[in-house]
Amino acid sequence: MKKKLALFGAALLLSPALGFATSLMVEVQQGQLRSEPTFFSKIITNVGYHNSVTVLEERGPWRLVQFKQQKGWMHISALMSSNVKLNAGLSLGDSISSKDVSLAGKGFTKEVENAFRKQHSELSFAWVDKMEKVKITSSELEKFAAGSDFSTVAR
Amino acid sequence: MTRTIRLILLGLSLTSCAQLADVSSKIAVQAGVLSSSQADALKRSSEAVTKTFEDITPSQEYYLGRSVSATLLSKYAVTPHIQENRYLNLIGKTLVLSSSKPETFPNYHFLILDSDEINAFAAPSGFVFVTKGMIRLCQNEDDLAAVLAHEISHVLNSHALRAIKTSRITSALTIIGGEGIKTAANNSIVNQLMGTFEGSIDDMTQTLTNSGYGRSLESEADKTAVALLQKSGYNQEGLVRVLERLKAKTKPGAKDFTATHPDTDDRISEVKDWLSEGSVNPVSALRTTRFTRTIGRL
Repeated sequence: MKKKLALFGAALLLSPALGFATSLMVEVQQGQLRSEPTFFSKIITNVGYHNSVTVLEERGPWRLVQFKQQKGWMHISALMSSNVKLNAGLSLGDSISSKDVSLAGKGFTKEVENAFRKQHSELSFAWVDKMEKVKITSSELEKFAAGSDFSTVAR
Repeated sequence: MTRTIRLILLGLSLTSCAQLADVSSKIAVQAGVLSSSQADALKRSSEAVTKTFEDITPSQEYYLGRSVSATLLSKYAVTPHIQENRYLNLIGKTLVLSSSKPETFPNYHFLILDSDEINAFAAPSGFVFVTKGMIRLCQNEDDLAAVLAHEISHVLNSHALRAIKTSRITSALTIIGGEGIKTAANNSIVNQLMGTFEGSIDDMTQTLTNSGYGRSLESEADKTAVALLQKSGYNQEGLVRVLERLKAKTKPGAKDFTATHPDTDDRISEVKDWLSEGSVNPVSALRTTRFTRTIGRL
């Protein structure tokens, strides 16, 4: 019986999908804490890449999280990834978290891109940079969606 | 005993991480359910499975996406159609809000390519490109949304990353996971990774511009696109209309969309089958007017 309980506990602990993980890392360049679980709600604060947030509540694909002293909603796609699943297992022991942290920020990084660019001076990143600078605000997007006649009943 | 094994498998199946599989197997050994050799085999098997595109983190996907985009942009000219590009971004971002992944590392970005060629591309992390030729094939906003939905679906399903040879990912993970590596800024490590990076960019660019994803992944992108259009409120039949016009406009053997996509008739037939299974959103006259006014004269 003890064995079974231990195994069941292990199975649950190993499952971030079941919501037992309470800490997740932000996996986007700039995550947003919002006042409501919708992209059109007010942004409370921005949370940078690889900051840790504490999950307080789940509502569909949204998570009510705490970052420092502030609470707000973040979409799961800004938090969850294969790498974050490891971070979610922080409670399992330092060996996992430290290995994950050691891999974070490595691999294909800005330094690797710079080395690639040196080898390929024929490539221009100017338009890639310009693409990234095009910002669409939540209010612009909300206005666009509101004026899109999406409310028509599907036939 | 069967139940206990099921519990272990549950733990393993709920995660794809080799490190967690390692922990699971250790627990199982301690509980006397698995022998050490069985646990080692399980761990080795799990490690082999996880050395795939899924091990590429969002930030790494971003840098791959940037370089794939730069490579594509070396083949196509761009003119600063500021209003038209904003409009394209508004449609694209409206679509991604209805997706399973509305946020990527840099968020999604859309750009018009100044080419008469009928084509569209999606690089990792959400960099999406549509040629003027493809936009001219669209007669309304719903058609253009269908093109974007198909490309966004390639991003959602990590199709470009799947084009990277597994050996390159294994190599990258071996380099970054090596003993004694203190910093990624180490020149030797950066140079080793650059070789793998370069090869990965080449794998993806070749797939995007020459060989294509193949029937199965294109079908998956079409199916995801139909769902995305349905959920966002756009008319899903736009995909059929665009495919039918593609079929009429393009010639077999041409170096455009047809060179990298499976038989158009098969795709049309498949999409029509999916549409027959559910409700279809109507085309909106309001959206069509907006399309004609903003991008219709490109």
